[in-house]
Amino acid sequence: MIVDAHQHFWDPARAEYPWMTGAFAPLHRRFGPSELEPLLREYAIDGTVVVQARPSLDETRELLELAGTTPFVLGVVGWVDLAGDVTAQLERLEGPLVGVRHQVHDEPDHDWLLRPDVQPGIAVVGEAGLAYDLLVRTRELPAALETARRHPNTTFVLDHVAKRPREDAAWAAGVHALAATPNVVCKLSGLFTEWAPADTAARALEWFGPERCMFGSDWPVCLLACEYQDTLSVVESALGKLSASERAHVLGETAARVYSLDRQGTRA
Amino acid sequence: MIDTGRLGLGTAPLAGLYEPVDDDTARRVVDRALELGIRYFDTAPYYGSGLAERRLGTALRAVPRDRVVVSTKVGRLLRPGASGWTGAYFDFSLDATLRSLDESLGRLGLDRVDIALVHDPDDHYEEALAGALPALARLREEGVVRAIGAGMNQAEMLSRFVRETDIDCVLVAGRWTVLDRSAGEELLPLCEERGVAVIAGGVFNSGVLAGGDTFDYERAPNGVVARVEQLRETSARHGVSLPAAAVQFPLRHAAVVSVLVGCRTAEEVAEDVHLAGLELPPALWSELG
Repeated sequence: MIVDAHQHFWDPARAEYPWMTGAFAPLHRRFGPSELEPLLREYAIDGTVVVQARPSLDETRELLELAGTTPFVLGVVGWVDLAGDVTAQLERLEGPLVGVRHQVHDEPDHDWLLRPDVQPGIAVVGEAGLAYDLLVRTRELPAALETARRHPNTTFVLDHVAKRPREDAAWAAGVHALAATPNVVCKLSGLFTEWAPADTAARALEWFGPERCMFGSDWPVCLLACEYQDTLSVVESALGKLSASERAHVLGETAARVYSLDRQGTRA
Repeated sequence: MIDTGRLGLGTAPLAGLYEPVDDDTARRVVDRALELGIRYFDTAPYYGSGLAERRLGTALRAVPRDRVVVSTKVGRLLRPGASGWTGAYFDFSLDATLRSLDESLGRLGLDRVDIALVHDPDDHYEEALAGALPALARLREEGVVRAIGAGMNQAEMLSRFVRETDIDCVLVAGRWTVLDRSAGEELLPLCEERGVAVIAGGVFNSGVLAGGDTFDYERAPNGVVARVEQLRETSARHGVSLPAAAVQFPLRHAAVVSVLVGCRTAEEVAEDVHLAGLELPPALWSELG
């Protein structure tokens, strides 16, 4: 089973996506299931996890609804207000919610994750059996590490290998430290839009090991730098020497385990 | 130098250099090449804006990595616009070189390439000398690539690279052919003296030597057509087809380790392998010079 553990849908005509400016401007149009579906079929992807792209409970509900009507969507990583009553918000959500994410790297405070009003929310996410997706860059890695250590029973998913910069010493040290934290897994996603995609895939795989790595395309953001196929190929470039079972972890089993996709039922 | 074998496959036509080629046809070209014993494949980001690398990588995915030799190139970064690929941008800086090669690995789905070549730095010699070549030398030191060099359609600048840098090989396209011997004046003797391996590409001069009417990627001028007719007649007198002479001619120089042929179909691969294997009369070469 091959799972694309990271993709997005949006329609900027229906809601604001404030980050879709500058280099991201080409993404300012509708991207829906009908555009992704032929790509999944062509590259034999069995299912996907769709991930939030704006801090809004409305979007989380929309994505959960979309998952209900889109057979290939196996799970949703949605947004909830971590500083609010997380239990109450989660109770009102229906559908295959498998994780929670906040666009932490867009917050001015690089210790946002450690804020006293956010930490209890992260604890509730873990207690609900959901994964927490870390969308961070180098400057937020220390807070991400501290958060992962404070919540050892919660599984954290590092998105896009923390977006490797050209000057990568601090990035490497930070990601390596996260890899030493057993409750953190890594998404081999968003690679072509950052520095040295093939080398990043190889290093992340070495640091985390295949059982703690999962493939994700980051479609349609990936289209800024490559084609859908390249997001799979770059992971392949790192998998060359691995056994069939190790490959299976990276290409689907890790995502299925971490996001409990089996419990959601494979509907692809 | 790496054992490329005498005949390698150039992959520019796989991405539709002259006319569109579909996925299945491209796949059959590489499959047939492998079946017929070809082990060396040359590609570049520029060919079809990544398409040649993707198709080659897909076709090689199930092949044991040690069975094939792959070269790709640096010097153009692929950056898409709002409506798909807008193209390849020259950049011979150190950073762009490192980035370009890593992105090529990503498109190919390989963890290494064997040979990395600076691609067409005709108007960027100083930049390539200051950026791309030191970057490639570093990658060679780190073992990411085994050999480095430059690939161009001219012999003069390749000679400068051989004299002024520590490259292992050059890919000279169209300048060491039965029709155009300009690389024979300086580049080839220099490479032989320095132990730099020469890969000869464009051995049909963009098709004019294989029965087409294209020379240097454009319609062949009249003088070229007349010269080709002479060569065809000379070859025919020895019972040899001009394409056979064209494929085999470059290998007659001691510095040349491999000839690249670009093929659009599996049939063309089989034809070129056949031509490369023919035994040609020595008298042909003395007359062709």
